[in-house]
Amino acid sequence: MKKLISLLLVLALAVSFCFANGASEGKAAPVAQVEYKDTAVIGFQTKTSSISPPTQTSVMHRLFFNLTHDTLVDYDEETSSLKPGLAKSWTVSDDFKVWTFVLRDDVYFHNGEKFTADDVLFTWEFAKDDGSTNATVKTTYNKIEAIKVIDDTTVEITLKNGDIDFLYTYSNESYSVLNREAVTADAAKGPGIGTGPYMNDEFVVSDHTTLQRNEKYWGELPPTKTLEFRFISDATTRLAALEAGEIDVCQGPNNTEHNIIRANDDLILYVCPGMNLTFLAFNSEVPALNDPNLRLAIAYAINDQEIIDGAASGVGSVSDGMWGFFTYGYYDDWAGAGLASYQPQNIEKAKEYLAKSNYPNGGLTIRMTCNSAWTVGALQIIQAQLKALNITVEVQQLDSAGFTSMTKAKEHEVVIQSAALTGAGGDMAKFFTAGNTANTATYNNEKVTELFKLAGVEKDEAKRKDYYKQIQLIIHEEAPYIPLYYAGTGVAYSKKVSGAVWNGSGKFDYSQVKVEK
Amino acid sequence: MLRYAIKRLLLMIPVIIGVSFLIFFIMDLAPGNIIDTKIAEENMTDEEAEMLREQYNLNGSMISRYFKYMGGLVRGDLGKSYITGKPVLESYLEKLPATIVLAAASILVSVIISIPLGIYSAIKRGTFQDNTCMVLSFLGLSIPNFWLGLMLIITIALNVKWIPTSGFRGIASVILPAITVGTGLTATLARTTRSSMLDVLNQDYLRTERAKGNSEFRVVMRYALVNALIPIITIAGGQFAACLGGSVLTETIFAWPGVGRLIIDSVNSRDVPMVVGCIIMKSFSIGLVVLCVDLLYAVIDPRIKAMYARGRRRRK
Repeated sequence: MKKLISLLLVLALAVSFCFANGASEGKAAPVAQVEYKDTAVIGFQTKTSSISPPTQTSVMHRLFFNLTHDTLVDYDEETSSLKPGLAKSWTVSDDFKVWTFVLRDDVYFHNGEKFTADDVLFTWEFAKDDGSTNATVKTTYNKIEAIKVIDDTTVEITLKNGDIDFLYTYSNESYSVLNREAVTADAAKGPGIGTGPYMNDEFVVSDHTTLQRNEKYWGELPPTKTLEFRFISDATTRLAALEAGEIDVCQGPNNTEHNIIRANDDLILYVCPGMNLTFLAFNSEVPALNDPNLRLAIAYAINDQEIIDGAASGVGSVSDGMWGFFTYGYYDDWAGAGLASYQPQNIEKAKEYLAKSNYPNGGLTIRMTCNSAWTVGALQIIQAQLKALNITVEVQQLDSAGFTSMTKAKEHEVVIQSAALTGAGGDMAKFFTAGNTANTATYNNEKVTELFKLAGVEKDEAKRKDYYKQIQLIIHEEAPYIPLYYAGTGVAYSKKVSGAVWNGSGKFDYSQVKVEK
Repeated sequence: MLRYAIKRLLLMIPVIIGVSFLIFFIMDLAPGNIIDTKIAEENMTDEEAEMLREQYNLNGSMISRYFKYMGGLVRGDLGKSYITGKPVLESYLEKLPATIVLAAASILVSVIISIPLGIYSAIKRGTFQDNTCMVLSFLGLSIPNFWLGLMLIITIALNVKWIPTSGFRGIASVILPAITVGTGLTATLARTTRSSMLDVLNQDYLRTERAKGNSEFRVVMRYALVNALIPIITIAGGQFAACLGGSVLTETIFAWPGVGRLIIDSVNSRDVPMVVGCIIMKSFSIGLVVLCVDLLYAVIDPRIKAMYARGRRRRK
């Protein structure tokens, strides 16, 4: 009996293989003109859990929202500047409180409804009430005092306090415009309906997402009809799927496998300088660590390049400041300001600072905590480097939730972590002002807080940049954080792929991607 | 037999109560909670974190949360995920088909490899062949799943066009993951088959069958194997039940949309309703499979069937 069942199953398998074989597509006769496939398949690495823009802020979610939805204003990563989206133009009052947008008149949602100023109002009402539990989104929407619909194509947003960076924040895909009718009719699937170049077709958590072209898109029509995104969490498998031709793009291949991609003539590897900064944060509430001289000694004793080579397989670039190189007001002329750069490593200088600290001969033990396998590697390298200062490093690894629980309770000493930086100067305040969960250094300097406030309402660009410069000089001398490096963002794709935009934030743009047959 | 099955199903209730309490307790002891994982993604102010804590009833005691959850469970509500907001049962059932397919295929691979190995070893007991077979079966157990999985992808999937590297797309995609999981199960099953066969092979009735002129093949397959089947089915059934809980490593490597990864992801993000709900479903399905295996004994062994029948007569 058992044998019979086994035999039947084997037979069933064999039959299905035959079908799998028979389904292979017929080869088209060679023609001079390049033909493109109807479907592009992209393998991605981080799970997405929602199609509703106001509920998620992670890069991978935003990559999808960018395809399915639109914001009033777009942020151009290449030029670090703002450009029109659903709004044709905008003006702002002198105190940066009242923002007036003139909207496009030719935009329709995927359900056929016309886009009007009322949808802007609705999105705000929906997200700030029960449409989202995302703290970042709620905080931003709570900054808005009122949204006034002037007519169908004019909308006025009044903020509670003036904010010069408001549009940088508001251009984020999480603030995409939703449709009142769609969401009212179906609160679960309605938020997935937007005005973007692609429409949500199928969304299966931790498996795949399929998008179909929006034939009535108001902007440039996408060349590919269907985009299929497959979630393949293991990087080696993802790359194998690319090599086997099952997917056309493999996002985030293993750094250690870059050589395999380079050796394959059918594949292209692109590595862009990332916008994710990895850094050390010193908890200033730990008495021993509340000592700028000690922190500076450590900053000069660390060799960033060694960490990149050892822990990130050489894929990354050294960072010398906590301010993103693409963030508004970035300053790096340390010599011009009479300061010395943290990099390259300078043991002599490190020892000078150590001599001025409370531990002139070292001899202290610091607990450094991380939450991933590759940051363990980085900490082990730092552990070895700090031996030169006679500082012992105790490396501790926790899982993500345990890690955050510890930093929130301020029970950590030093943590290594990464953060995605943005183009908005004011956004950096979250690391350096009290009351933010991102401020893992528990840093609080009244002067810095004051400077952020001044910069936030300063219309004169030169003055504003000067405020940001002063902040950067202070944090360079006090070193509450030690910047280490920007991890490179890699992507591997077939030679037949063109039209995609790869950038450092990892929020790649596939709206114009096409794949040769 | 029906009475027996119902009794066994009712016995699952205390098991589920115990399991759910244990999971609630362990998840409560683990450092960090859902708010912490959300903070890891978003920058929050203290008030916002407090607001979320209220929303998830995290300020109350573990016991109060547990009873609230069990109150829902009695009404058949496994709760909603903290992360996706979707009902737990829906998420679980979404992943279940892929898990069942992989579990069944893995057991098939395991049975195909280990039963012949076990029988052969038993017949050639104590010889070089016997040792070779046992070493082979242990090889499957000792090779780590993640390594074997990756090697299969690189060597087979990249060269054989119709076998996909990953995902659950058609029946061909189950081959490599099933080999990966199945070979890991062979050692136990092959050894069980071997020892169970050894017990039977020395029985007098086999000598009788041989004396009747039956071929050795027929004696072994028809008379010895069937009588040795009970322990084999117990082990294979247990393995199948365990597979239904998902195999995290294999699922991760093959991007297999199964329940194992669902549970692990939920544990990492401290999504308590999802973890508890999935584990309850998992214990329920394991209980169900074990029950089926027990009922299967009666089908295979007439003596057990007779026992059930006798029990019924006695009660009458």
